[in-house]
Amino acid sequence: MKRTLAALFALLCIALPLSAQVAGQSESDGTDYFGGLHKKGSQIISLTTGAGIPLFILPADPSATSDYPLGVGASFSLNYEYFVANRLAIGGSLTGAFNTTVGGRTLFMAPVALKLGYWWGTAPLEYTVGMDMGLNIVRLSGNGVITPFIKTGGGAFVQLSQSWSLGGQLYWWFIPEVHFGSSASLNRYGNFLEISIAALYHF
Amino acid sequence: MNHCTKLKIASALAAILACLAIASCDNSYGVFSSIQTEKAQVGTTLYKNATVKALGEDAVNQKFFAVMSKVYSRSFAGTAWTLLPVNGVSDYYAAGFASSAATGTIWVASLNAVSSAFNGVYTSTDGGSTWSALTSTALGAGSTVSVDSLFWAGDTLYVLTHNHTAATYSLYYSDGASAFSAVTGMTGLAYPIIGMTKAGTNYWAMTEAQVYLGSSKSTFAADATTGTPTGTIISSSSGSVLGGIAADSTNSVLVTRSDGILFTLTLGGPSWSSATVLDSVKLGVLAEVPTTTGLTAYRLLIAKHNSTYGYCEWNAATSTQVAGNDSTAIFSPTASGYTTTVYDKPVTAIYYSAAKGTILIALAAQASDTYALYSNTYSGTAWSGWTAE
Repeated sequence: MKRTLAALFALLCIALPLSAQVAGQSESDGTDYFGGLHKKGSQIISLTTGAGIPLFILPADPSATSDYPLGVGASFSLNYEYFVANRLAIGGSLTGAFNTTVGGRTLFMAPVALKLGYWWGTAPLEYTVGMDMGLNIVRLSGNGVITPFIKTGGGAFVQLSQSWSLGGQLYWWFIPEVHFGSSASLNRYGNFLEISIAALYHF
Repeated sequence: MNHCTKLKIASALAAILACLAIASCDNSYGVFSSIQTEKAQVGTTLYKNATVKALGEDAVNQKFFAVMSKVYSRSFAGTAWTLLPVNGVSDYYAAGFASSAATGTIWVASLNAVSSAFNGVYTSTDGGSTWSALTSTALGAGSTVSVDSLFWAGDTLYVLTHNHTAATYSLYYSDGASAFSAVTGMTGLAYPIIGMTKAGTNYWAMTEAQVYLGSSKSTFAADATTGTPTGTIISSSSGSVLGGIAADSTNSVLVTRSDGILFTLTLGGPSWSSATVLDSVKLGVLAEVPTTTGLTAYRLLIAKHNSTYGYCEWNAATSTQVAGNDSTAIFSPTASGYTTTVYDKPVTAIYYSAAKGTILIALAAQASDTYALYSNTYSGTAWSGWTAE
């Protein structure tokens, strides 16, 4: 419960300034689109690294002996986005993440996803909210499954130069592990929170 | 390269990636459900990253024993493992250990921890409080001959010695209290005895290459029963070796081999039968364990080494094998209960205590950051699953 509350608090902290910026930006941003970096035809490559916080797995297992069988892990990703319209970008992401378990194992996840992002901001600050959807290769103790993968959230960045920005991101990962037939009882829904730093390269 | 070609290459790469990913999946394995049932294993520091090489029990004084370089014990009711001083000496090396649960007797072959000089074979009938030395002059232990191991086979204590100059092995026997004598037919062996048992009135010994039958405790010969298991002693990359020997509740003798075959000789049977437990998988030590304390059905726990170590469960009644983390496995109620404990560690010994309804499993856990000794107790309705000692 403490971990969930902390995650919600972190989400709130990042959401409040974002919503304030959305409300105020129309006056200052004009049609500049962040110096043209968020205009149609622009592109972004980003590298992220951060913590993967396991929140909860649904449905709960009555025989579970630990509320938090997964420890805080790490994630890293490579992302590409192309602005198909002013402020609206599509692209893809390759991610790797791992968490250790209370039993000493390591859960490894490698989501491959399509990306949709909305960008805005006024120099030197830029913001994004978006969603990734794709497939997630999950491995544990030599066994593996491929699951659907959805993550949604956003980030705030400081422009360091014409091309580079650096900032932080907060994303909620939703991982439905779906099995079929006689194994349907193994269906579970994993929820994680990604808190990461990101370096953006605009071109 | 035109746009169309690039698209084709990208599509082909995506298809290959998808095939590889799908091929690595197992619909019957629930990753998150497995994680949910995990429990933290917090065992004795003594056994972390260690190797336990032998196990034993004293049902009279209600103690378990685990052997590393020294012998450690705990009471049935307790949880703390303590060093067992042998004949008043704590700084020793346990070359061998044997126990008779029913009579409450233990034996330790003790060496000097620094010089490896032979201290003696000591026995205790009070759980290790007091000791007496067995007369061991027949062993000839000294600079040329060392004591390698002890075996308890039903009613007889055996000692294996090793002549370093001749590179041979010899077996000696005792009733457990009297002096040792050489076993006829078991001196000057080319390979060491790795296991012994007693089934009915017969004594059995085994090297990696050969099974030996003792019609009495003092006289053995190479087993000539039809279909007797043999190993070829791996000299290059080919061949197979015998792995473990045990007797079951019906006094059948069971032998495993490194090609995945389990050999069985029923009491008084004319020939050995064989069954493939795991094709081309190296099998090791084994023990018969009742699936409940009602003793109406049994499974064999058989150490194995294929892509991973650990054990498998063998149902001799149906000639079926299940993995230790299979959903139908008896001794680990949850898949994670096996995968987070025994999985991927070589099994060196398995011991079932009928008095306590507990299984002890000894492992080589070096560099695994986990433990070398786990127990599993039957509650009356189900097995508890493996818990670090």
